[in-house]
Amino acid sequence: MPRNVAQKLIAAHLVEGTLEPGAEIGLRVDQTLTQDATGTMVMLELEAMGLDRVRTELSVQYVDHNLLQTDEKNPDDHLFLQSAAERFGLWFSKAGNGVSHPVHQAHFGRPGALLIGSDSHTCAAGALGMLAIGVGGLEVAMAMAGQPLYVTLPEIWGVELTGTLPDWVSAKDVVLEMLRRHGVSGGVGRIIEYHGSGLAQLDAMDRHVIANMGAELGATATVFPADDSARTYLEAVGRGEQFEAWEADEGASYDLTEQINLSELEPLIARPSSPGNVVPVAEVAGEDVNQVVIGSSANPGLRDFAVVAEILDGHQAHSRVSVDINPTSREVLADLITGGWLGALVAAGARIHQSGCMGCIGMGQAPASGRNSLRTMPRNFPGRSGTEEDAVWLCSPRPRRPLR
Amino acid sequence: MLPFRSNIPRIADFAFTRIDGEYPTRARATEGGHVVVAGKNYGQGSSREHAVIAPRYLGLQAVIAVSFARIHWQNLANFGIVPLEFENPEDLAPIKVGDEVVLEGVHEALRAGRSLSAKIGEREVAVTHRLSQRQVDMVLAGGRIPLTAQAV
Repeated sequence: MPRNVAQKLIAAHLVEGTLEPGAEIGLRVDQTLTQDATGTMVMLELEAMGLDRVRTELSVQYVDHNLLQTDEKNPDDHLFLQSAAERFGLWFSKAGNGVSHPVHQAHFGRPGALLIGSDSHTCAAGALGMLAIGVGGLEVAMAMAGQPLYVTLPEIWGVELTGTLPDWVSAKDVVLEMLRRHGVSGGVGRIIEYHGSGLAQLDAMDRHVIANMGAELGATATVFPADDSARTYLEAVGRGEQFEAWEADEGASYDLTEQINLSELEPLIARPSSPGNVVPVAEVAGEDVNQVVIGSSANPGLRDFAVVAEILDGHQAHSRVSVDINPTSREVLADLITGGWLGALVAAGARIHQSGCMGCIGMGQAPASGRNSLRTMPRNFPGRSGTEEDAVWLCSPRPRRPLR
Repeated sequence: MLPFRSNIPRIADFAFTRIDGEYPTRARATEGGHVVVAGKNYGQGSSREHAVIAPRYLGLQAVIAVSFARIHWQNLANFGIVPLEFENPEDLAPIKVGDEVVLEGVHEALRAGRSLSAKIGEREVAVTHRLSQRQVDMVLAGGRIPLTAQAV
């Protein structure tokens, strides 16, 4: 029987159970990621289990959440995590290296691998043809100890993309359209698999945006095929030899189906205070803005910053608007410097922050009470920003047009 | 509260306070544990186990919701809290803070099938669970860690 990509990925990792919808299955885990906010607990759990070395292909501990050192707690945790990583044989990505998801994709992403992570946006790795699932820390600890991941077999939701993205519309609008249609629980119990003729125009970073915010739909995972986009990406990050094609068989079917004609999309935005409150940008034109925050795991690519730099280049940000730049990773920051974009942002009055999650997880950058904050982030639940009466909006930074 | 990371008693002071400022105090004062009742997509978004461990520390034993988000549902089972769903979502509305919840014979009922009955206030309310046999074992053992410890 012809199979879709998700079915192939599941079958390749199945170690317990049978493929009946709703049944619990056990999957072999290849890779794990933990971030510092959840990783401390995971390392304590490994210690409690008496584990010697991790039994995965690779496990990585990132430090991207608790970066602000206003007292000793966070730096103490960083040291603890580093020592635990040495103790158990994990890769350690130190503070300042950047947000786990794009960093993991760049350094460790591999088509066909199963990744679990104690961070809900772990699903972003689906961009490269991986099965990537966000879970609780204990699940990750068990996987590091060589245990399978147990999940209820999800339904596979095939979303066919056709047409061509118009100018001013980007990948973020594709996933915002899914949220507009289905809301924040529309993906629960499902793996979303994107396919169709519209895929070719989406590069690996575009796909990362869409897969990342599958978490906002409540989906178990989001899967893209590993095709030329994944190959081009892996070659660009110097790991072309790790490319492996993972594509749906001719005639593969899905448990549920959906179509999005990209040509018909328009720029979208999520109003406060849920990623499910999606409306066309045109409907809210004229709203006052007090803060603009650029950068997060949902819009981590170089272009997501460069386009903002080019818009601001030669101008001054409005005196009542705080423009905050959170470079996703050390590499993105370096590229912004090399390309001259960082200079344009600094000259325009933007505030440059360190690489990491920052305001996206409420670590600094709290907006003024009741004032609109426009962010290229995945979430805007009430109070998440650190301000009790917040008004956070989510949108894309990136009109789809050529950069200089 | 993020920097309090693994300090469970301290982060428990913040549990549910955005929607009910008195929850930690009331939960601490309630002998014999308590139950949270909730609406749709309970636990939305987060992978953080703290969201389960902190209320468990305060005595949470079961959550009865209209529906659950996936990761939180798994985390509840991992830490020995029983996740139950209303058979009829309209049973949620009449429930008041402080109503007594009685789950009679929950050990046997979880093993026997999908349906349970909860007495909430004066009413009998039909609830269901979606736990696998593996998860039932772990919930009844008090969580995945105690279950694993039993096997060692």
